[in-house]
Amino acid sequence: MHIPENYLSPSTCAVFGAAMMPVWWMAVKKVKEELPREKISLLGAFASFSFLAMMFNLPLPGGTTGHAVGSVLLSILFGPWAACLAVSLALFVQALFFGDGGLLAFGANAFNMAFLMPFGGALLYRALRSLLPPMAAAGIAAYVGLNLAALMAAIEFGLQPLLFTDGVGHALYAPYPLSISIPAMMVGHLTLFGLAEALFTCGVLAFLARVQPELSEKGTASSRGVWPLIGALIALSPLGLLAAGTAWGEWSPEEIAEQTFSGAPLGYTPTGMEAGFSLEALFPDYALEGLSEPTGYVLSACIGTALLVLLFKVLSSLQPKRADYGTHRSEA
Amino acid sequence: MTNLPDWAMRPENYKATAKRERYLFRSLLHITSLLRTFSALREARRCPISPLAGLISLLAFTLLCCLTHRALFLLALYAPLLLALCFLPAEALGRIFLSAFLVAAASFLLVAPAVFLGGAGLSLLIPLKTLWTLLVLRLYGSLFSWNAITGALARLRIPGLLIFLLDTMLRNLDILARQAGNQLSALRLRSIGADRGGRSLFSLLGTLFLRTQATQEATQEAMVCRGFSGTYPRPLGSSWKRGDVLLLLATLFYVFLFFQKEMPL
Repeated sequence: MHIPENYLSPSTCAVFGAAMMPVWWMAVKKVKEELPREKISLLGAFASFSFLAMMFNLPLPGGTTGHAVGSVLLSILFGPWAACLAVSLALFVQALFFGDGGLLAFGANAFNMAFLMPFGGALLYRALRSLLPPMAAAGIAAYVGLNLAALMAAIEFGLQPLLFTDGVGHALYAPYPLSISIPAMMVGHLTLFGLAEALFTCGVLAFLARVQPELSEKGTASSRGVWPLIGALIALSPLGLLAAGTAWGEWSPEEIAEQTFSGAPLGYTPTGMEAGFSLEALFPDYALEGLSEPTGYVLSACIGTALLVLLFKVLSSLQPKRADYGTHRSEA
Repeated sequence: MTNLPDWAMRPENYKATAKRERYLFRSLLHITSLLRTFSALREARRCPISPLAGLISLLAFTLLCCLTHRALFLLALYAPLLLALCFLPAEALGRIFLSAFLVAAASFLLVAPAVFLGGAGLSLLIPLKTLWTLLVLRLYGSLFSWNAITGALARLRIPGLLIFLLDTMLRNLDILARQAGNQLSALRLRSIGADRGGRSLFSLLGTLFLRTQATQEATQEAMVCRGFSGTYPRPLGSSWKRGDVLLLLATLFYVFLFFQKEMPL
């Protein structure tokens, strides 16, 4: 679901970037006000969950792939504002260091996966929690949240050929209209990827409920139960290489001319993609040149996880210490 | 009713003036507080790896870092380092990163002419290597207390004289910093209303030197009385812990990778 570079026009990217500015500002403000220092450090560990979840690609028949995101999990544990901040930073690390998702398209990716998904999922979770068991509510919220984000991404893709074309009618950016982008994106997410998101969310919540039940409540907690899980995810990250195809809407400029989603090969590479902005990432596609793919994947997982944890720890150290009056438990 | 003495009856016409040495005092106090962070960072922590395994890996990784000419291998070396830094407390991380980045930035300034004149490739490795080396040294210093470090050195059969010098230096850094901080604070308090000028600094340094000498003589006599003969016996008991296996495997992996990439057979 990561929108690559040059799939959205610069103006579209600017609109979503501007839309996210007040969201990020509010998220920082809310996190500073509501989360104690210890929880901010812990948020970094969970941001790495989101990062690692996005490395596990799942294959779909037809050659496309997708992945879970983990935003709803974070919003259940820390609240939607903290989830927004954590997933935004995970997406930024992915775009800057690993080339997964465009840097210009960062605003749009953050809008889909760091705003719509955690907030939509959190609202649904709160509504369902009184009617269903917590795990069921969490699973449904995660499923719906992911599909909401996928729908928004499909709409963003589908609007490009309507708004931005050249003199001969060829799309300048993403070439497939809404009638193709929405079914193509939603088929995979409504079936396999949404289910994966629900399973990932429920699986992690169940593990934490057994190992560290206090994490499910909004109190102070240590991260001792979290590290073995992160270690296991890092070790298993090369499994994401088993899905050989490219996710829908993440083709390279060289691949896109051969795509047949409109019934015949597209036959051209949109000009905006050929001549657009590009940034050479340090570890493109989570690979290190000269190393085998699994080794590169594990090292990339280590680096991405460590960067997020360290970033949140350093941010937490900048927070002033608050006096503890023993009123940790706030309303969910 | 008690009569006040004459000096207490005099009106106060004190006005604090901008003193030239205020900046000097602040700087010196800042330096002493930095030196005292050595003792703060070296509190014993519960660590799953032993100081000896940590020291062996530190030496091996540092050697690999210094010898490599490939940027990607150097970036790959950052992976275990960053992961290990994640386990330090947040307050320590801020200090470690700040000092390491400042020095790396200074080393970048040194190589900047080479970078801008077209030699960006290998020149850029130098600040990256500097940053890596500083981070790994600060990490090691944060994980183990100074006596654990000297114990690890003894196990490696480093000459006792070198260990003694290092041991003494580390102990005295903290003692000196405390004494200097106390003297500076006392001098500052006594300087209110009086402009002592820069000669205060020299008398402070002289006093510090004399006190260090006296302290060191007393320390040496005490050590001799307790049977210290100049040698550091190897600590008893096993020095290995469970986490050493993983650390040494990671070290071997990187050594293998280095030889595979830098010196293929």
